[in-house]
Amino acid sequence: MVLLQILRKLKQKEKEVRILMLGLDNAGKTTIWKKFNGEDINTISPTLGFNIKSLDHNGFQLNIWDVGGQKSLRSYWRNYFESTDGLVWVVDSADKARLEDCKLELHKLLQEERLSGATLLVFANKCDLPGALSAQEIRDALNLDEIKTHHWQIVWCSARTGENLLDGIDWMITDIASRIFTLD
Amino acid sequence: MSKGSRQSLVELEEGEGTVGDEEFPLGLGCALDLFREKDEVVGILKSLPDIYVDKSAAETLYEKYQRILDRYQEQPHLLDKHIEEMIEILISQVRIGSSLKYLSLKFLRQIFKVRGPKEVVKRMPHEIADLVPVLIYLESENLDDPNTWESGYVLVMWLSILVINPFNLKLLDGQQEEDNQNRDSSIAARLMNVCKKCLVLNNNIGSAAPFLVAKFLTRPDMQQIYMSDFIDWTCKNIQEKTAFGIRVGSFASLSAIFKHAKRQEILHYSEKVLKAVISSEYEKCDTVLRKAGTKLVQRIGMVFLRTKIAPWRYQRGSRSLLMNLQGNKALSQKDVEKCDTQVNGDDESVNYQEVSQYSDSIEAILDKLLESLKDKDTIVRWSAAKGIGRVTNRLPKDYADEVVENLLQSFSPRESNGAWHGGCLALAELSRRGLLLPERLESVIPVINKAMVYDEIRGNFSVGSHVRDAACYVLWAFARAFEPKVVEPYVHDIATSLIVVMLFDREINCRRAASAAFQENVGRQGNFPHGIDIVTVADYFSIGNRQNAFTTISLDIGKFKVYTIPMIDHLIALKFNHFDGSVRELAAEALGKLGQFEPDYMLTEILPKLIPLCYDLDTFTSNGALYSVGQIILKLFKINKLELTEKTLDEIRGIAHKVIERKFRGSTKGNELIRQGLCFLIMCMARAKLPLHKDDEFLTITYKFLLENIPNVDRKTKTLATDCLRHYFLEFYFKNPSRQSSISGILEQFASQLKTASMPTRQGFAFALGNFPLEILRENFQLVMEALVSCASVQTQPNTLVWAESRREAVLAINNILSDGPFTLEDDWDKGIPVQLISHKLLYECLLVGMDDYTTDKRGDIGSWVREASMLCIETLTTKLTECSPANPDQFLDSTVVTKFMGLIAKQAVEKIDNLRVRAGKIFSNLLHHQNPIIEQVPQRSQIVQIFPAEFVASANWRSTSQTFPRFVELLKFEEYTYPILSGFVVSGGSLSDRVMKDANGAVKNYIHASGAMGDAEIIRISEILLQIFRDNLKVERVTLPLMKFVTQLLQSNVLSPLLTSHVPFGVKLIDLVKSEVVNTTRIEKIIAAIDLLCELIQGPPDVVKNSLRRLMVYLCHGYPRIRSITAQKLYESIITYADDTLDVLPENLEEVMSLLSETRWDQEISTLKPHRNRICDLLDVPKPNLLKPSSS
Repeated sequence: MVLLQILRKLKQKEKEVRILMLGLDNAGKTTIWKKFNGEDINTISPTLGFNIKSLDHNGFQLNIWDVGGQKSLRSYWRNYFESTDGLVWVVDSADKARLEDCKLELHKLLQEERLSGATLLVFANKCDLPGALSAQEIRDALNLDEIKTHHWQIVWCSARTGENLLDGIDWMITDIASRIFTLD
Repeated sequence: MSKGSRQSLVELEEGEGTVGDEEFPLGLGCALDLFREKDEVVGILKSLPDIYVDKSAAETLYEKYQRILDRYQEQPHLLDKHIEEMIEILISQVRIGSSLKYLSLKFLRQIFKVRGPKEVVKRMPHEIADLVPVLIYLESENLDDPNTWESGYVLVMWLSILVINPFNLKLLDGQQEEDNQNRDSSIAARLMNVCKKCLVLNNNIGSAAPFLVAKFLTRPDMQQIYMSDFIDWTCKNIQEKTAFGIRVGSFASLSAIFKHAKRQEILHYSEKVLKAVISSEYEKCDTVLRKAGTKLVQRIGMVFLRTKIAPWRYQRGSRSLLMNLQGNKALSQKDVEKCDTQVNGDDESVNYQEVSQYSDSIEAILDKLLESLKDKDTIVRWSAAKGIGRVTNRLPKDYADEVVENLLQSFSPRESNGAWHGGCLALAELSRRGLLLPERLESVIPVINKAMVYDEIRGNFSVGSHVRDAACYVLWAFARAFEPKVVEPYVHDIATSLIVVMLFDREINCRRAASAAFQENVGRQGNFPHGIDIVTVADYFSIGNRQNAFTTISLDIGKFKVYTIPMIDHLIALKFNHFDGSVRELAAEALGKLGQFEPDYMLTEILPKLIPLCYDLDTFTSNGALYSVGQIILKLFKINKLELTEKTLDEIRGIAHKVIERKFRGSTKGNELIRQGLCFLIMCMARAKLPLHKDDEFLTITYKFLLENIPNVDRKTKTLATDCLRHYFLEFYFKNPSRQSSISGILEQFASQLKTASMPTRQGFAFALGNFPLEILRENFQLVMEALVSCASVQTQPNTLVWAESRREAVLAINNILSDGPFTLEDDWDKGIPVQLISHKLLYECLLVGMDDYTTDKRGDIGSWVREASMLCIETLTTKLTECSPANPDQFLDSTVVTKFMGLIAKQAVEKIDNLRVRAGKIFSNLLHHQNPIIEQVPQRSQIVQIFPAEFVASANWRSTSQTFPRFVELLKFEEYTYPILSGFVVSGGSLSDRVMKDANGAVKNYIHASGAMGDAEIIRISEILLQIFRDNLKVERVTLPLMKFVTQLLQSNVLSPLLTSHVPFGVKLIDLVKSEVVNTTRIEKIIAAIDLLCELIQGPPDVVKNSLRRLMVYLCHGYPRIRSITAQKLYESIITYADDTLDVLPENLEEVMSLLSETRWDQEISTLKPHRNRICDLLDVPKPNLLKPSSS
């Protein structure tokens, strides 16, 4: 009986869900994360590092990992004993210049073995900004329809106002739960 | 059934949250997304009625079904949507009955296994009509039958859901037997009896039964009738030392009842049962009973204490996503107040009245649980830890604090490792539930830090990895449980503890556990110094490899000042003298590397501490200290920070003295460790250029010591001594004006050691010379080379014949020396090795002999080592010689020599040892394709290049005979290669390895077959060479035995038929050779090979047949009965096969020969057999053999 096995058991028992928040820098990951935590969003600087927070939602315990815009993201999802259940990919809808980058990174990420099976939620953030692309445009730009290996969904949102954040998460939790827990 | 099967009870009873003992495979956990094979499975289930009569078909189908479902073992919930459908199909088939019933139930059991009984049993049909048939089955069947236990198991589970049907059982009685007044045969009574019957079984049915009992007895009606009796019965069982099965069953059913029953209904039995449990002395029984007892004790505890959540527990802030997102200030404010981070120490609001009411019992329960926490078995400790967590949850604050106080006492050096482990588990359990209050951290953290490095030596192994792993669990749990500000004061302690375990633990699971706990802490606490940088470099994979963790990752972390010194201190305290040698060496290396960050600390603190430990009496300490001191001074020297005081230098210098003074007695393991350590230290001293060049005393004793260890039989010691010597000579002799002059004398002494009469000495000194740098050898180059060549050659003294190891070592030494630099035509050592100093003729001669070294001893073909080394050396020598004079290729390379060695290398490439073939194949192709310049002397080079084109060579698998043999066989057509290649194939073709044999035979057959197209000339040439090989190797069994087998196979496949005509003398010559080979031998295997060969020759021309029959007639009356029988049998077979064409005998005579051969018992006395044999001779018109010597019978 070692730690690895303990964690596995706890995950089932406590209905734990592990969610990883990723995306290019300045996409708004930490803003969303803070919003989830009910924290003040006016003092945000580029994240150097990562934060884990546990939140209760609909009877599930969400362990949300906010990974900053580091170069070496890999260690975060590689390190852990558990697998990642959900992946929140945050996109800056107004940053058209980097959409191509964003697409490449996302598709590269989905190749990761440790992320296989994870549910993908794409937040098209900053939709309220002038000149922002629509969710459909982003869906096309990121080639989401090509993704066959993961369940995915794109949701437009505004981290600043909190609009649509809950809908996105709800979809994601339902999808994950149908895979990893028994729904009573 | 084994007692062990009872353990599944654990899973069944605890269902959620229990951590059983089984190993989970490390999979992806969520790789599957839905039950894809659903249709297939349903198809299988539906087909059961058609196939169940065919047992083997049913078995195959079951295995297939099992394989599919087992895939879902990690994500069984994916099956949930379909379980009902599957159950429905199966149950309808169960209702049909007959043996289909057993099969369907067996299939059903698999679902229980994969999904877990709790989830499945809910979905079983609830119809009351099924109750009686199930009951009857359980009553009538033999449930102990190992073939049908699955059926019994499923039915017990099914019954457990049928009995909770709120249906008056008496009505069923009415249906059954209208006027039966007898209570004992009522359905209820029968159910009770079945429960008891199942309970005592020592199999999975027994482990399912408590569940049934609990469901049945907690029915309000049944409870009134049976509960009291049943509890009396079980209490009696557990107190009396009844049979194992009954006791376990009783414990388990009591636990189940205490879990399922309502508190008020069971409370009045509690004290009674507790008394029974305590007097049962379960703690002295075996594991399963101790586990069962521990479980029951905590269940009783939970009944005494009312369900409530400790109001005083510690909670971390508001965490609802919904509330946070809605941002409803008022609501969230209120909520935060409600469950804010502080402790609501307000106990009065909750009524703890029952605690005082039952205080004695509760105390007894806690005592028992705390005691079980120290149990020697993990599962018992786990159960106790969870029990403590649950019970404490219902206790008032003071009481709970006492539990913690008590727990902390398990962490004393007097307690067993089990107690430490159990203590950690309980602490983690409490902190997960918020029952460990922040003010307790002050006393808990130091204890956990001790547990993090717990390691108890037991001879040459240690226990404690489970304690360290559990301690990581505690720190992981702390990360989740506490607010950063609570943990703040301990961050440094926790971080350091985790880092040293994650880097320097011997066990991979501990390193990984520590890394996971560290990451959790970094992510949740956010205040770990350099946390993110560390998490980035030290992940699950990078620390998985111990060496990487110790020597690479440790540097990435060690560069952070806060951690450097604690890491060094940890290595000094616990790792440099670790019981595992590889850990000691890694620790020393890590110490050296980390020392670079703290040179002053190493010089002023660590070295003075380590130096006296170098001559400690404990071997591990001494060995580790020697390594560590060496590493530290070497690494400090490299960064130019080795500023030793006069005193320290003197102390280091004195180490060798003191260690050597202690005298090594014999060559025990401990002694070897000290020798190795000292060699290593002296090497580091040389490489660190310690100013000891004028210290004659030091140089004398160390020189003597190193020399002593060169012939050491321990390979590691020898290698270390040799490595050391290399640096030692370079520094203290070669670069030392006062000693430079003595090098020649020393090398002469070394060279003379190559002639001694001790194999290890020769081996050792050859190895040492081979490792010397050229600059030292220069002046005495020829002397050394000659000595090595003579050591590499087979010498006249008979006892040296089998010294293949020293010959190999000498050849490798030559190879090493020659590889050390290019050859040069000039007499200038700065440009390389002057080629005129290399007596290449002599060398080639020696190496060609080495290529033919087939020495064997009890280990087998030890000559292969010499052959391999010789090949390597030939490659080096040849390429260097060609490269040094590109303008005049023939200057040093003689084409006859090249022809010889190319042939011999090719031969090795088709022989039977895999590794040698690989090596030979590579060397052969390297020489063939050598560029700048091309080696023109390779015979038939341009044609062979076509057989082995560069594209093939680039991707060839030289191990695979099917790839290489068909190519090498093509070399047969070049005269230069025919003999060696054929000798190689002969040995492989008759070898024991099936694959090699087949490929060799196939290749040669194909070759001969193909060559037939151009007439018989080629096959006759080959056959002459084959005979030549036979002749050259007469009585060399290594060659002749496989050769005879090989020829037999060729004859059988008819490819040699052109040779079996009267104008080719092949057959007759072959028989002569066979005769000379086998005469006077006692090796049965060889005689049999000869008989096989002779029998095959019966297909030949008349003179060959005659000759062969004459030989066979001799064997028909051979001294060994087995030979006689085999001869008769083989002869019979070949006459049947070939006689029609080749034997000129009357049919009736042949008839008689055949019956004589087949009907005589050829293992009788020779005198009885002789007349039969002679009759056969007459019939076949073969002269009777004359007896030259008396028969051996």
